[in-house]
Amino acid sequence: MITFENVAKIYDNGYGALKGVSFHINKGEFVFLVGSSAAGKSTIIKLMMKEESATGGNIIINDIDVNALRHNEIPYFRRTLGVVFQDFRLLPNKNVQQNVSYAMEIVGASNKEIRKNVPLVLSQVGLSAKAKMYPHQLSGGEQQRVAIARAIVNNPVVLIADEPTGNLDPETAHEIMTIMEDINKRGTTIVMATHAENIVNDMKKRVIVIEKGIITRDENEGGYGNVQSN
Amino acid sequence: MFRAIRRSFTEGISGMAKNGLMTITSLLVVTACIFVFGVFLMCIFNINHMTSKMADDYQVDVYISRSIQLDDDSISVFVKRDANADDVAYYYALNEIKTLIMGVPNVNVSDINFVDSQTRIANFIAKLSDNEKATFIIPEGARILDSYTVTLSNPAAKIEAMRLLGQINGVSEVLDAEEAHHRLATLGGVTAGLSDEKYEEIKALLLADIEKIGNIDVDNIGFVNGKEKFKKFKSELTEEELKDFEGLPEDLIPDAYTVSLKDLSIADETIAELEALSHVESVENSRELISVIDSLKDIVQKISIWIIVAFALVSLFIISNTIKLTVHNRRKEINIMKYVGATDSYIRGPFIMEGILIGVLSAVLAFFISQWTYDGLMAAISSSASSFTANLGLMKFSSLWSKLLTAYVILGGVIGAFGSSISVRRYLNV
Repeated sequence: MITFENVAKIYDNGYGALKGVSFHINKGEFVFLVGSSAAGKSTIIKLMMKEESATGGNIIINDIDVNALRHNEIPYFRRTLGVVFQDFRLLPNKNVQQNVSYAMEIVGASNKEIRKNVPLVLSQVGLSAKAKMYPHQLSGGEQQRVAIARAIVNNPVVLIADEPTGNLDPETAHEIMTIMEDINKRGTTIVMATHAENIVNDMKKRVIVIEKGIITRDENEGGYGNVQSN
Repeated sequence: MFRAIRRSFTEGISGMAKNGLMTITSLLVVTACIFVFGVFLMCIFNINHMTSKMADDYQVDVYISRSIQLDDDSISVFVKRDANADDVAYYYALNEIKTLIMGVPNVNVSDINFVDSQTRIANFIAKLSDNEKATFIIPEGARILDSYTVTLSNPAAKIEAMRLLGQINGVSEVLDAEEAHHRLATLGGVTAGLSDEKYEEIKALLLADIEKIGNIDVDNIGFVNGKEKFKKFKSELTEEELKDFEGLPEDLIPDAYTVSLKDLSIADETIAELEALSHVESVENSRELISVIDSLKDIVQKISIWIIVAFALVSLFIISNTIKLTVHNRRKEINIMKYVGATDSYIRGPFIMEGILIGVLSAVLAFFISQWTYDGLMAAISSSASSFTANLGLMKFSSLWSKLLTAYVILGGVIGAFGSSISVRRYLNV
């Protein structure tokens, strides 16, 4: 599903964020990407989204050679991915339902599909009752659930989450993880970058540890372990 | 497709509303720019209108020459004959004059022949039509002198040579071939110029020659009778003024063909061709006025191009900045759209539409201001009512509004679309 082959990334300012990273993630896997702030987690996610381009190696996602994507192909590639951020990134002037349906409108879904899919994903994240509320009326956890609903409404093959629990209290974070696990069980591959030690330890999923641009550990049912933090 | 346009439209309008003051500012600036452009455009329309009107009225008069064209550059030097002198003395006098003619400084004689009066008359009669031969009579007592016919090696110096030859002692008169011909015709009571039948023949030949010139509009050749024209001219004069024209021959004004040209830009060449035709007295036209207006048009067009470029840049700048504001306000949304997989054109749509709306709205505003200004100006001109301005042939607003509005809307729309696409491009590289 996702293959990184000796991937390197040197930014324009000369900073080497990744120095030869290789891993393979199978369809349906749930993988934690763990590491300190500047270790290279975000760079891996940006490369997966094609927000940045690798300066070395190969990235294959869903049989697509990501490095070779042309600018006008990127939007269609991104439609196969769902993405969730630490800061939710909801549109404040749209209600819950509109925030989700918006993602479907953008990809050109028909009104019929939108009317069918949006209530479905809202119930999946437990927000059916709050469909007409606006982001500022929701708690952080609820906002993140809207963001998750938006990320999965177009049925992505991979869900990428960048510190999705970073702004949430432990209990709410746990709720989010339950939803994520549910999504994973329905067949979506999940890659989640995180700092949250207890979540990683609780979930007992595959953990890829990255430090200073190099993978230092990659184990199934791993724990957070001894990750250098700064 | 329709949904995308509708979405761009509603979001474009909401973008304009949210930018409030900035939108109004850019609307006003762009309106002013388009209006200035329009002022030049209206000038060009009017000048074009004037030139095309003049071009339609443009006529070349080809006056037909009635005089005989002998195609003869020779000079006749008539020699005095003393009534008392006998043949021998006359013979010597003739020889002496011949020597003198040959000896005049600066007159290079290439050929000189003695023509006695009888030969001259015989030659003249030979050229006449049968009708004229019958009527030709040299009156009793009229004397025609013998002459030397001199051909110059340099025909261009003819006039000066005639003057010098006339100063020779014993020379009665110096005439060129046409004058000599005219003299005999008058004396013998036949038409000095072409006979009527010959003239008709020549007129037909000339018409055929004119029609052969490529730039002549063959279907539009007119004929003006010179005598009638002169008569008509005189009929419009007062008694007092008429006195000045007393005694002038009634065929003072030659007949003329009036022709129109297909292509005015090569009028000079065509006129030269007409002038070169035989039996053409002169060619008259209003070319100068047209060339003045043509050069005026040139200047206005050159200025307008720069004005358009300058004001288009100003409009571009202001629209691009307005849209930049909208883009900035919605950068978060753009970012989300990018992550969800919106195409560039989907993201760009509403911003381009907002730019186009500002441009087109400004165009419509500028159009109404133009109408108001133009009508006001026309009213002022017509109330001053001098015949000069009335004859200028200015266009009515009703006959130029559609062109003006089209130009405005296209200019406004293109500038708006282009201005906003400049601003959006930077934000699309996520």
